[in-house]
Amino acid sequence: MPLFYLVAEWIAFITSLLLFFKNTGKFYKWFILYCATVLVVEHSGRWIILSLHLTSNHVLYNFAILFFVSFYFFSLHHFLYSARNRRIVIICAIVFVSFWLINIIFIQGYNRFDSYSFIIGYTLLAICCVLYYIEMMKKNSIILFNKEPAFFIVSGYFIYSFLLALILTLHEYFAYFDTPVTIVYRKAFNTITDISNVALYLLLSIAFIIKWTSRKL
Amino acid sequence: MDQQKVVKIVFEVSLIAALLLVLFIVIIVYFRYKRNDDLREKKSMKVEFEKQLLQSQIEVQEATFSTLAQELHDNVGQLLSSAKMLLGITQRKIDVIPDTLIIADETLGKAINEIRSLSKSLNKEWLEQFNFIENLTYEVNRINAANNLQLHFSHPDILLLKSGEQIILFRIVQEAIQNAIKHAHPKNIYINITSDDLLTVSIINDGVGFNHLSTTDGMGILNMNHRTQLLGGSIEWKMLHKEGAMVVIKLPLKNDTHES
Repeated sequence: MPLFYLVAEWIAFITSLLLFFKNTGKFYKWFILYCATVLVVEHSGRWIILSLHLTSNHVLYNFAILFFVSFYFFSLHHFLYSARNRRIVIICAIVFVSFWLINIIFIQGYNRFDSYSFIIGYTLLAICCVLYYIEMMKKNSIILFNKEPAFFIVSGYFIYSFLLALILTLHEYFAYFDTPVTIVYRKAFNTITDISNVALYLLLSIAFIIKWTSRKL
Repeated sequence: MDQQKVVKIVFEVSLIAALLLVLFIVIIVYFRYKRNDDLREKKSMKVEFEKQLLQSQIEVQEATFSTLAQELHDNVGQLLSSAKMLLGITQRKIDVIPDTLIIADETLGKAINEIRSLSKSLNKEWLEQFNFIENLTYEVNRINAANNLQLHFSHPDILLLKSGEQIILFRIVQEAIQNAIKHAHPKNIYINITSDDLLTVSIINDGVGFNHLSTTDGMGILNMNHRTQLLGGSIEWKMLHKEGAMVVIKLPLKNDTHES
């Protein structure tokens, strides 16, 4: 399964290269950087464990989450039309960054996995995704999904953030009761996070292809 | 807590959450499709309503034009003819006819001809008897005779439009010519009609051009826009590089319109 999500990330990166074409919109070019960063972080994470034989790569992910979740908020802010909803996204982003800072400095530190930051970040992100759906439902113009890359991107964010927030919350809950971590539990945990990753990157790939095909020639 | 139970809870909760997520997105897509259908229906109803409104506006306008034409012909035309007849009688009674009387008589004759021409070009029934090209040729000749500008008209032999559509197109071109004369003060106006997949009518003048904003204002421009929409075509105003302006009307040609 870990290979599947890596494949999905590579597919997303390769399809994001389509956004280099003219008239795909300046904003979407940020996704090329995002996908490249995802690959760098994922491969670095694996390299830290497999080649350097360190026991954890949490430090890397603790810092990467700041970049990734901030980018998700940034793109959502771009996809929303209503000024009120955009303001809510900005507030959520500020809350997340503040919490991340407090958590890394005062609560969980940077050597441990900062699960609280992940939970807060993904929960806020899921809420902002719902704002997008509400706005989309209210829109008074015809929306063709095959010409709406933002819908696929936000759906990817939504599935990914909702599932991860849920699984991390459950994880924290079991940790609170000192449930011993076995291989089976770890496998179950990893399977769910991998499924959410695959969903996110495949939906991003669809969005990039849509953006590329619907560019003005 | 029992380890197996924990794994079971994690899997069950995640599975339910994933299914709910997918269901949520499917519901969103379904309702959005329904909303799209509603919007499409609303839009088509609006278009239909506007079309009918426009049609009735044009019918009222044509009726007004016809009444005006009739009034010009039967009332003002008759009065002028009587005046001319009286002038003729007066001329016969005078031995030495003053130049002013001769000029007045000639001017009156011109006025009568002008009124007749104008009356004809406004009369819908008269327009229906002829095709667009004949009508426009007549209009071009009328303007060429009366003004200090020259209209040049090039056209195909026939026009594949229904007579009702030809009248609407005639009114659009008439409005474009009048606008050019009124605002651009040109020396030449070129009317070119080409017909292939689309019927393209371009009215080019070598006058002072136009203020871009003025194309979005004014009843005349609005009427031209509405009439073109009614014909299912498009109209565009362009400034020319050196001087002057151009109006381009593009209309779709249908195969069942071989009436002209």
